[in-house]
Amino acid sequence: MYNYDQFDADFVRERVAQFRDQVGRRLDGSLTEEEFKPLRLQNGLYLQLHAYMLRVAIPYGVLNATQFRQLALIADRFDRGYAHFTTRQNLQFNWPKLVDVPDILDLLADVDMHCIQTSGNCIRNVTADQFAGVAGDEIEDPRPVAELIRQWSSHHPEFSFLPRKFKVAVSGAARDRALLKAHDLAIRIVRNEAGETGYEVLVGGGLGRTPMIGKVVRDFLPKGQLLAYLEAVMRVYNAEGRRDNKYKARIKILVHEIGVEAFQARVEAELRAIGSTSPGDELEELARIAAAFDTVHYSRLAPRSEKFDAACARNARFAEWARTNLFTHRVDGYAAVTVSLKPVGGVPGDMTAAQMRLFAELAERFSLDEIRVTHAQNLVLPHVRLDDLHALWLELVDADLATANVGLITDIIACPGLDYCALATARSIPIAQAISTRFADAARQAEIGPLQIKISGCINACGHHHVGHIGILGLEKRGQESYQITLGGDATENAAIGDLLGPGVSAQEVPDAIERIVDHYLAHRLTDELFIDTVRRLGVDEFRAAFLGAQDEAA
Amino acid sequence: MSVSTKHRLLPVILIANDLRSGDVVFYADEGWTRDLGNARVAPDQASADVLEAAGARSVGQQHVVDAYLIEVEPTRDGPRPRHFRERFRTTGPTIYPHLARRADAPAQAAAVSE
Repeated sequence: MYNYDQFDADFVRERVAQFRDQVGRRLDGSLTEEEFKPLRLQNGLYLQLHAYMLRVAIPYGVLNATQFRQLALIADRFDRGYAHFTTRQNLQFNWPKLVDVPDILDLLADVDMHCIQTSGNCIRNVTADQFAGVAGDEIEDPRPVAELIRQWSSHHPEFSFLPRKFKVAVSGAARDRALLKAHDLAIRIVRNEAGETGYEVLVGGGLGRTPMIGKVVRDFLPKGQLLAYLEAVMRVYNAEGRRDNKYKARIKILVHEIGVEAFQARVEAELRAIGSTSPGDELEELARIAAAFDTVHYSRLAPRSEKFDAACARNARFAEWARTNLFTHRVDGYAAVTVSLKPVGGVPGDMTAAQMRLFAELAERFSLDEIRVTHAQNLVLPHVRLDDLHALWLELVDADLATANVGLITDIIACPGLDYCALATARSIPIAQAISTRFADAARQAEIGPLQIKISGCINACGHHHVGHIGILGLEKRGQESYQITLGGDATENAAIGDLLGPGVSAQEVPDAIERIVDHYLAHRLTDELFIDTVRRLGVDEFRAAFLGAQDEAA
Repeated sequence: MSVSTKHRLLPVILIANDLRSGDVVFYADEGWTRDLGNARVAPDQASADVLEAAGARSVGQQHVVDAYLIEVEPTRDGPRPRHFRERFRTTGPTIYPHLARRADAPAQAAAVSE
């Protein structure tokens, strides 16, 4: 956990005061909506279908129990008793009143939180691997770099009015759990042949209307040169990104139109124009930031826990949960626990204030006061002793937070869709609920194995449907909600955009359509072959034929 | 926000968000209301124009945001939006029945300021 210093605290508090003044001027009529809108958006305040919506930044998805309790308090006092975790590791309140937002921001500032740059055409909240500092495949903890970028980009005067929004993700691991290749810019901490650590930089990924996989623009950037390089990238984008058409304004379009090599050449020219910088300054700042993170005090424990093994042998439900929801910790005797926010038939990513308060207590008791948010809309307790897992599980069961489905077919990503979002063209959440209800049976989920379904309620793709093994996109067709289904997307280091299977189907037909795809997989998979591997081996066309054939029979 | 002027089927009502609360509100004879059943229905172009002008005025006076006309069909229970998007807007999220708008709830039926 990064601890604010006085500068950080004053910075956030000053912004709250500015926004309080701006809200006051909006309410007394001094500011029109046109004037106010860009100001509120830069503070994460949207006007949605039914109400305002406030998006709270959770930098790289890391929280402590005190912050979590404060979010619960805000949910109770200023919202309707619940909150929603987003696909970019943030949190949204769905029902705040404009008049209350300055007070909410003050409550957030009390616990070193804010809504800065969670919207608008600026560098958005930086996301990261939810297992940062925990994963065994990690070269280096990416959080200090993520925090460096957060501080550098916060209210950066040159990059506050970009052609379009700009999303950054960071990871220090071999496996990509942060959707790096679908970000405008991504940084992967890597080691070169000489054994030095540095950064691989990818640019031009993104989902939305024109999905693109990010391209490597620098395979090894030495440490100490990151901010200069980012500045060069941002300057090229700021100068050359299109401003005449918002649908072509993201950096992915620029990179695509001029090509990677031309883009690299422009960045290198910009770097030369910036001139010599002192890597020592950046390294010093990075060291200062790294030192401001709490040291996690692990106990020295045995790699195996008899208590855990015995509980697994005794309780099949616990063993099932342990099989799906645990992640191997780099420290002996500990596990990282993913807590699913996808109960069968539930709303993906939603949590009640009561659950949040209990969860904060569990984080303190069992996870060294740390919580992570995943882009898959789940939570992580990153440092749980194997010995404590059963006791933790019992508490989670009581709070309806022990769903054993992480990575399975019911662990569905879904954007808020037309139940909340003013941009949506169809609902997402009821589709997720219908699918998770259809596939509720635990044995069946286990038989199907890892399968990611991702649902978006419009072409903007907040539900990441393009990179779902099965993607579902809600659109309007002849006055009805209609759902296009794609197959073969991948959100990992093997990132891929899914292919459309056929014409859209109605909301009622979606669970059957998913079932046909799953049945085809089960009928044709090789022993132990994962869904995505079967799709790759057989090809999308074969699934398409099965999908369309069955659809014709039904018709 | 401006009032939409695209071609539409009649009848229509005027919908917006209350500036202070963000609540969905409808233009009624006595001002803005949260009760869809009380919304003023414009059956012809002339009355639609009047509604549209009222919306523009309210936006200008900073009482509401994003005011626009929506097509409705009359039912026994009052006007019903023709488009599913606007139906969801008037009923609240379809996923949480307890958050659905209830027109008969006193707190939600109160007229907002104009």
